[in-house]
Amino acid sequence: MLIITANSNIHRWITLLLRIIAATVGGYGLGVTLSIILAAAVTSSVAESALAAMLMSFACFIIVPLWVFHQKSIGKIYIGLIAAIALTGCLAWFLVV
Amino acid sequence: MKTSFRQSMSGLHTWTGLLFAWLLYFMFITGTAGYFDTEIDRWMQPELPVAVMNTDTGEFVSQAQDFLSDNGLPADRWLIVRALDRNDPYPRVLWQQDGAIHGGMFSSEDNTLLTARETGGGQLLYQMHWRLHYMSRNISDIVVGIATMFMLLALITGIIIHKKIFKDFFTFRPAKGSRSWLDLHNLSSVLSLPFQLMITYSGLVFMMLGYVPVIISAHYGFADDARQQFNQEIFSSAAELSSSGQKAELTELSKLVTTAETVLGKDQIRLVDIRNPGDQNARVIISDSHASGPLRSSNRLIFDGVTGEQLEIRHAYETNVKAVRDVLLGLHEGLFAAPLLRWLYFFSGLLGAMMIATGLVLWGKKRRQKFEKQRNTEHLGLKLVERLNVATIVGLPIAIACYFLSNRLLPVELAQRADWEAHVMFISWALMFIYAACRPIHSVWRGQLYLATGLFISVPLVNMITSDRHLIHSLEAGDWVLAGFDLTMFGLGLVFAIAAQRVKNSHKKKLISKPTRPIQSRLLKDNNQ
Repeated sequence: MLIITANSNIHRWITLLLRIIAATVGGYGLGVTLSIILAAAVTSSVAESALAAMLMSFACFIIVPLWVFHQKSIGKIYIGLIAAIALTGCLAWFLVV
Repeated sequence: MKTSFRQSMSGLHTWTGLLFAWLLYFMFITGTAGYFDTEIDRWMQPELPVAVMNTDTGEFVSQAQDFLSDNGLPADRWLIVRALDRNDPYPRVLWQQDGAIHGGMFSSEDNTLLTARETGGGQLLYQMHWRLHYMSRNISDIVVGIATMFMLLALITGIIIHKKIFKDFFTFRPAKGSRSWLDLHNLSSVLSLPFQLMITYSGLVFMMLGYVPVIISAHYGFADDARQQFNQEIFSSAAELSSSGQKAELTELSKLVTTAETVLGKDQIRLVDIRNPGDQNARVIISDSHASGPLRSSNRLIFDGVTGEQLEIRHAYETNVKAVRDVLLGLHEGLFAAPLLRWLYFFSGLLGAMMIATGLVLWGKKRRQKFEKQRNTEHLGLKLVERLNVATIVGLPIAIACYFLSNRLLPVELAQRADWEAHVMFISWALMFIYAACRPIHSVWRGQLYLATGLFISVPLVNMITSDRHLIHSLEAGDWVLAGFDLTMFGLGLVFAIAAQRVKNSHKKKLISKPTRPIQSRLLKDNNQ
């Protein structure tokens, strides 16, 4: 019984840690790529586009922790975030370069 | 069982709110005090005369040029700041040489620098809210950034979990235990929600270059000068010119002021910035106030410093994107705010601090109820939070009162006096943490609230004993800056006195109405102490 409790506690902490990593790293990555795409739609000037992306990045970032802490499956969180960052990253790369 | 979005956000709200709450409370209190930074500066330098603003621009600039020619050469830069509004109550004359800034407040009456006691003043208190005082700039930027993101997340999740935002605007049920704390938490949050969202987001915008440098790299590449290139494109001007090494006489600045006034308006000039004075490549930038509205930017005219030829005009409103940034920064600092709006800023800041404080107390109350129901024992984490709460919520104002008192009580000639004022503040705050750790929690609340009462009331009294700019003198002279400070200290003392009395009464009530044995004996023990 004690082992089961200890295991479930460890599992809970690991799950929480994975969520925090997903929220921070994923949030930063998606925040940056998504804001670059949105900024490119706002202005064509490189300097202004960079400034606009920086202004929007925090709003884009904040969406991720909300989703990460609602979604139950850790697998879905990581797959979803990697897919979203890959997709938005490619698009951002295409728009910037 | 599937949890709803609102339910899952509730946990996130609790933990994001709690983890950095003590630091955020410090940031809110010191930042809120910063809305009256120049007024606090004035109180902390009672030797200064009553500020006289809006003197003749040409005459003042001419006087300042003479002073700088005599005292401020060689220099990389001169700055002549006119006393235009409460943000610059005294004219200043400064010169920069190898990064070091010299000069200070200037007296137009006798062409000398004004002298007053060394103090951190309101500026130090204000700067603490993002520099965190003892930390290096790199570390404080990271810590403040993380805390601010947590704040933003707590605000957004707070909005999501709220079912009845409008109803909460009008709901407060006193004397209902944790329900009352929740009402107070909701009320302070909802009442100042637009301010909290603005102040948090704009706080992040202030330091965004450091937080998301990867965006600049994405646009400009990873070379060392990428950031410099970005800065140059967004903020640069014709004034960016290095010294030639060839001496040349600086043109008469008052003539440039006359030209600039035709564009900026009569008596609208705030700053005359001279780069490379006495050099062939001298540039003069004349600008109006960056605090004339929420757009935190000024109109600038750039002149050749030798020929006096006008080279460039840069308008405050340059592009939409930059204007969004400038408005966010302007709203955050509130430099444009007239007295009424400034007080509104101040009270909104206090509501923010109250939101955090009530959230912390609520967390403690709920946990305590839970543990008392379950085991009748105390949890170490709960004990820690409760003690951190009181030492922060009441301890910080006590430390600030000590900061003000140290300004009057430390010897005027003391070396590094400004540093010692800050040391007194943090030492007294540390003592409040030790006091909270050593005493029973109810007596700590009561004790610290009474201490805060005594200290805040003693600030104007000590001022009366140690300086001739006391409350009666200020009221008689109509000096509302100093009188306002002293009266605010009395007001704060009164607020803490009421709070102390309420804590005492509620503790008494609790003792009478709650006869559960282990807790009752503990409470009785607390009361005896």
